[in-house]
Amino acid sequence: MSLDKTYRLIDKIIEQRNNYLKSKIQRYPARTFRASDINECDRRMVYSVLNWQEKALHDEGLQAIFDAGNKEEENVKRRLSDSGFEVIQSQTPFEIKNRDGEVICTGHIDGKILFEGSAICFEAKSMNQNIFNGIKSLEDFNKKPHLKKYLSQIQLYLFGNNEEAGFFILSDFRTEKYLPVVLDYGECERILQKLERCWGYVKRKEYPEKIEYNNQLCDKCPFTHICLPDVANKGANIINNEELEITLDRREELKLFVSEFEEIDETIKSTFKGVPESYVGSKYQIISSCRRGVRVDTKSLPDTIRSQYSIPTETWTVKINKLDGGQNGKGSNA
Amino acid sequence: MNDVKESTEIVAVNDDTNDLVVMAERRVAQLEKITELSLKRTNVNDWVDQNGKPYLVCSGAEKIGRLFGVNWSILDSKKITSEDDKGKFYFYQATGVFTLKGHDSIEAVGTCSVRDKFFSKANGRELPVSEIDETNIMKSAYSNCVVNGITRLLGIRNLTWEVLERNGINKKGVASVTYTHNDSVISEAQRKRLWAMMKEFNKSEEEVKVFLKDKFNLDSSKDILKKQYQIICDFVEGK
Repeated sequence: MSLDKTYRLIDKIIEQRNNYLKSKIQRYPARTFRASDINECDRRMVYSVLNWQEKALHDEGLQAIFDAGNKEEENVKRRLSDSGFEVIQSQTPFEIKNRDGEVICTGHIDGKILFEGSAICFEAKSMNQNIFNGIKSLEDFNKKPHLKKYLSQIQLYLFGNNEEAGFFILSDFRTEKYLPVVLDYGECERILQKLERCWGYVKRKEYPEKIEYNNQLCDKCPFTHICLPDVANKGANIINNEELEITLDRREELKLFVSEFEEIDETIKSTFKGVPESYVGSKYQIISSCRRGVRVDTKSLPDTIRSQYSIPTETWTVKINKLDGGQNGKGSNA
Repeated sequence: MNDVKESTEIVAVNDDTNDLVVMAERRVAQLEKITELSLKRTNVNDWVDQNGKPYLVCSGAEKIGRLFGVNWSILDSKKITSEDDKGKFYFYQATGVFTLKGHDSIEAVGTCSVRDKFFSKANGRELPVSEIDETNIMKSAYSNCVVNGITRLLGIRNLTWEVLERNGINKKGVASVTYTHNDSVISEAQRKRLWAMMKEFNKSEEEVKVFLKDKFNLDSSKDILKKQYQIICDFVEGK
């Protein structure tokens, strides 16, 4: 096949793939709130029901991610099944009613696994490797609004299915992670109050006040074009200081040698580990010593014990990014 | 550190001189810094190649707005119906006020018409208005308003690929939007294809140059029009 034809084939594949993805992008009518979309912003919650027809559609890139997520959910279930577990009630719907008996929220559970005579709820979530690696406990879900929604979602699943506990199966498309979740009545009450409050607005066909601009929520909101939030950016400190710039330049130059130094240092030290005293020629003395002690492996402590001794701390991390531009907008960091 | 901050913010122009030339020079220097920093804060996904020109998309404008502390309020977004020789159509118009901290405000407008080729064409055919998603038009007017407001306020409009490439944003990595019509020039990909064909069919650069000049009076392959492309390909293939 000629190179020209190959180029045309590639163009055609991209075009048809985009057309296919585009054809799948659509909005769905919403008469109630969705358990999978409990947002921090009440106004957005109300828009999601009253103005679902005006919701901005996502692009082909995001549709491809959704498709991959759905496929991965199937893969997770197949892997469970291949490992000998029986998955039941896949995509079973459930409803949450308010005090007046009106259905205000609906959802589907990903499935339950039969185990020792019980059916245990699970929710499968796929994500890119960076986010996956950053999640080590349920607390890590609070780092980003879209992850935070998963916590509300699973709490509602447990509540709606009268289950005391369930678990997340997280996948980065290569490996899986399992995180147990306990039904938290306090958290459920908070979510239910939110749902009832927002439902009140829906019934009155009114909207809550705009929240104070939050770029993490507002910039990605599919209703920005009708909410029209007042955007308030504080702006970064932009410093023009030649001396500081020279120091940072010097830091960049020295950074190149750090990894080489560390590699050589590690190679030499590992060679002499366990050898008390050595001399290399007449220039270097190398001393190796062993200190024995006991440390507490805090990571292996159960969460229930660890939480009793946890105290609030404040840590500032200072990162220096060299602005190369183009690739990620941040440049290299160290 | 506080002293440094107060005296060196590049956004705040401190016109402590009456010399107009000095003031102008300062402003030019500041504008260059704003442009450089803005571009370094964005990446290839924040730009599109629109008919050969770089166009900043809303995600990029928002990043730059955050960097320089631009505040804005979209005052109004309305649907306007109109009519021309092709018939009735509508467009959305969003109007907003953009403010740089401690400085003047400007009003900016963003529009998007149902006739916008990006929305009104699919698979080469013109879509009837009923098939065009109105929300996309509304959202696009809003986004255009944000982009216009931020770029006008900071003076970073009409940037060229040369300036972008100097700051690490390569045209090759940017998504392109080309509105097909035969009087427009061929795309970068088509040009590359032509070069590949020249190699494949052993046509020298000189031979093709002579052909372009004789047949179409063209000095560069960059000026080849879409309607001329097939004829040139046929020549390269020896047809």
